[in-house]
Amino acid sequence: MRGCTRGTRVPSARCREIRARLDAYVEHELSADAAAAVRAHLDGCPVCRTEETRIVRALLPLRAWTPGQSPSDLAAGLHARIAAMQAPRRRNVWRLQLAGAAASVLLVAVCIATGLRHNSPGMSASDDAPVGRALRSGTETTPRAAASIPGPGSSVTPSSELRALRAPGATPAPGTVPTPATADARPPRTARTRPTPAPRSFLDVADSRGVTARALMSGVARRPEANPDASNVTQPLPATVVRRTAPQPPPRFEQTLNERVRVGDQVTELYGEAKWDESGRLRAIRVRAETADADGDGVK
Amino acid sequence: MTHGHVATLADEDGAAVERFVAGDRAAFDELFQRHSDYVYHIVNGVLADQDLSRDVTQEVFLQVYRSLPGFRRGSKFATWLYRIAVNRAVDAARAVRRRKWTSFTPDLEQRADPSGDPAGRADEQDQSEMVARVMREVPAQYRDALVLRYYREMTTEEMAEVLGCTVTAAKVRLHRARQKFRECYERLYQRDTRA
Repeated sequence: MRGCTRGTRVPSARCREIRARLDAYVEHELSADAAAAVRAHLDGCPVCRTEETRIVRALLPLRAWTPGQSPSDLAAGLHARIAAMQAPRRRNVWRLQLAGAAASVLLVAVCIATGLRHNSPGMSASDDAPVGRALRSGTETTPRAAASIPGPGSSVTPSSELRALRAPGATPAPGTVPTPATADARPPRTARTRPTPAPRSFLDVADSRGVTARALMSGVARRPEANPDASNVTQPLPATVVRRTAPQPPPRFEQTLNERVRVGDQVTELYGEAKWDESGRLRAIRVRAETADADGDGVK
Repeated sequence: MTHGHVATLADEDGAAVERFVAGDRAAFDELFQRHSDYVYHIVNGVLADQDLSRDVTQEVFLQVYRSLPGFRRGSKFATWLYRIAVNRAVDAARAVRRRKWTSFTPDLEQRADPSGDPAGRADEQDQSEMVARVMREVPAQYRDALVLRYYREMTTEEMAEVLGCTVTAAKVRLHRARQKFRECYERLYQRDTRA
């Protein structure tokens, strides 16, 4: 039986063919003839025998794999979720009814208001639109400025209306020279706020206490080679990381940190996890960050 | 599990499905009681995470609850259910994979296993936990075949039925899954048994 050439790592074509069936061979899934052929090859090929040993060793734990116990609250949780699944239907109906009622009230209010204005003596329909008035005068206005413009019927002085049009964001009409009163009404330039620059890394995002993840993690576990003293390695996470529970690790202790940091319109959630073994030795620390829009759920 | 027992279960499942579709909600509880452990074991085998497995198992049964009225008569309920479980579990495993963790202490993890000898560790650590740890490293698309074969001890024919493929395809899938498992196992436990 020809096998691998002694001293070389390159398997022959026959060896490759046999190795492709070795896992099925060790699991007794081959037919009698195929198994006999593999066995005959293994008898004459020590390299493939080693390969067989490795496969047996790797698959051994799989054979001993036993199902764990199901959680006791599986049924209760499912019933709650079924109830929750059915609940939105009722809520949606209620919301639809509410929305319909609100729309009806709004429609009636608009009809009444429109009818009153059209019936008012000396007032045309276009006169009650400050935004339209501003547009006609060649002045642009922003939604904020338009919102600050008083409605018809209110006692408005020309200067206060003009100030409203000169609200932050409003652009003066071409050729308009601001009067001293309007110039005074302008907000100072320093009032403009610049957007907070986004941090380069989530590790540099500070939480509500001004502490960054990088600062938290930097003082946690020292590398064994840099710190041969095992007592330092077994120190639990600092209190700022283990936020909710005092660090007293029971066997296989595992704890998750969930910090939520908002930067501008985005929310970053930091998850941290630490594991100890039975002896209280710190096994691993790992972190994960998920960033999403503040009003959405898109995880990045 | 004998063929007669399987046939009896299939009949009971079919009857429960009929009753559920007719409006008997208690029939769903009956199906849940009969299959929840099995589904949980499949899901947990793929995910190797008890909390996540509980959620996914519940999602599987929620999907069953919603889809049962459209369940095709004549199909085997258990096979349909297990296929949903496998698909859901693999999807969840992929989602977990996308949320990558950054480990700060890989050296500590390695240091915790200085011998690198799983046989020697067998006494210290539960074999199932060892498998679960390796399974988390195995790509999601290979886990289902391993779970069905080793965790649930299905034949290749049964696997093919649940996975919705031919027997030959199931064999190929199992072969590749074993290869991946072995790679991950040896990498995780720093096996170096090359001749």
